[in-house]
Amino acid sequence: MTKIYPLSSGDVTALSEISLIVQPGEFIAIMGPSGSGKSTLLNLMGCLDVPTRGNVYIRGRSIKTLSDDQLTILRRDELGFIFQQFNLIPLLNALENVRYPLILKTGMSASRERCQEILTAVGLIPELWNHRPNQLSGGQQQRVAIARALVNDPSIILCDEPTGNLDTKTGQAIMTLLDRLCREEGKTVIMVTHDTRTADYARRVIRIEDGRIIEEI
Amino acid sequence: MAGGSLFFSLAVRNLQMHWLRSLLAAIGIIIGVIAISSMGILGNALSLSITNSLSDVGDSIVVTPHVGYQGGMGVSSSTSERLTDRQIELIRRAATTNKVVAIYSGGDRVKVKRDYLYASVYGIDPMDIPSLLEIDKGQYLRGSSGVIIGSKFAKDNNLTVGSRILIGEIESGVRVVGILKERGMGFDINPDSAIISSDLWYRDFYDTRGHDMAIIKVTNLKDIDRIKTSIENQLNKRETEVDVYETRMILDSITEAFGQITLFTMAIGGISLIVAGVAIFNVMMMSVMERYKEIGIIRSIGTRRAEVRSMFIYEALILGLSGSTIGGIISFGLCYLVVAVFMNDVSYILNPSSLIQILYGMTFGIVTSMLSGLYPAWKASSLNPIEALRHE
Repeated sequence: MTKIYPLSSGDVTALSEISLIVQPGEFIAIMGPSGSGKSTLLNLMGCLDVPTRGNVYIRGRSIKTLSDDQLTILRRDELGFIFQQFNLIPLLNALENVRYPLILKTGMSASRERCQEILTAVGLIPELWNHRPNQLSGGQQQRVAIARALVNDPSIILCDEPTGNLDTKTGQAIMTLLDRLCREEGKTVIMVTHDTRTADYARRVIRIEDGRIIEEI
Repeated sequence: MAGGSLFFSLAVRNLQMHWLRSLLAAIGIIIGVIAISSMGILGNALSLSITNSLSDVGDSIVVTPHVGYQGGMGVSSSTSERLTDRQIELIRRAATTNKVVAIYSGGDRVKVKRDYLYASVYGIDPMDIPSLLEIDKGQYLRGSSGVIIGSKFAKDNNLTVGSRILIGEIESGVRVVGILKERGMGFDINPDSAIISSDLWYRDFYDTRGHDMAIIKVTNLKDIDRIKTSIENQLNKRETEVDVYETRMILDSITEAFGQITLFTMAIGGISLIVAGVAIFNVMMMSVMERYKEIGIIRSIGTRRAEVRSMFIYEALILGLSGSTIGGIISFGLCYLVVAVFMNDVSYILNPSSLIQILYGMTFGIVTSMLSGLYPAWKASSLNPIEALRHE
């Protein structure tokens, strides 16, 4: 697929004729310098954008034929997002942040127990469940974000520099958690990073430069 | 939509977080609603009190001589600007079975005890008086002797049944045989501060010919138009001899004039509400811009456009609803106070036609807030999630 951003100063080709197949249960890392197009690739796989040419298929479904609402529901049910900036909702506490996507899917009766189980599983102690994001450390926020990404039981988890804002030790703990999700729960993890130590957790590493795949290990 | 109350609670939390800004926006709405509702209520209360004092004369046709009519056949006569017996007869014919009361009316100097004052004097056939006026104390006129007086006239001059008053330059003494019930201001006659004598006494005393007006009491209101047309045809065909008024119409036009004044003042109040709408628009736009990133987050994790839109519309709705409710309550209290103090009758406020003004004001307040929230809500929902996420 190809993604071109039309700008007044001329078109910018962010991705150029990329082909990539990710198998269910795979853990892959996408690496490359800034501006190489790795975030664009993640956005396209995350159904936040559609390619200019070519297509993205998720479990055989073409995303180009879907409406905005259908894409939104696909993101809600099939994909889990983990961002470098954690991106929690500042108005909600930890438990509510995790429960938010579940409420979107199942309504206000969404189970609290499930959210509590997941928060325990990602290692956030109950004393912190009622804390707002600004009262949590980076590592704690990222654990909440992972719990939020998992709550609707998606098959694919998309991570954009998940350890970029964390110290080495916390980063390792988060990576161990993602690795476990892939191994034990069979989640497909697609991660954008420029940190080789983080990329080591992946079973497949793809390197991009100038919108093209230059290496696949 | 899944989790409608989720977006409602998010809206509430956001308003709470920026409580001062929300409060200021709501105060705008409160003031606007108070302006509209109060103007509406007070205008309506005033209109009610006036139509109330205009007594229930909606069933009458009043015929008076046309001003400027100089008598028939171009002959200037002393009966000019009076109704002749011929005219009265034609009116009676037009009225068919409905009662026609011919009235003499004038004013004269009256001596009550030692005081001189000026009063209206009416001369009416004693047989007709009961159909027009109601006695409170004493009795109706019998024959040509005695007078009955209006309630206000009696009260102002400390007169009772049996009192004597002297009428005119020659100070002819007459005895009060009855006092009328208060009737309020009318379009036909205003008996409250007047003296009512028999037609015979009036004609003899003032040596007058021709009546000053004729009142037709219409039993079936549907006949009003027919009688009116018939009189016009009989008397005003060649030349306008008489003026025919339908009291119902006068009442209607007064009520309408008041309605228009009220509407005008309410429109002025409406301007303040538009200002409030701009304030809400501003607050909502600030809210959208501050939350670009948050909108990007919730969109990326599966919130639909319509759901984002609803969150912002809820914010506008909460501001509008709370502002309008508070404004409605304050305007009720305010108007209750004003009317209780200045009009002494709170029933004008409790009247449904007054209370509905509060509803108008509140509806206008809510609609204004919603309209002001629409564009910001649309703007928020149409943000590109990727760009919104990048926003710092």
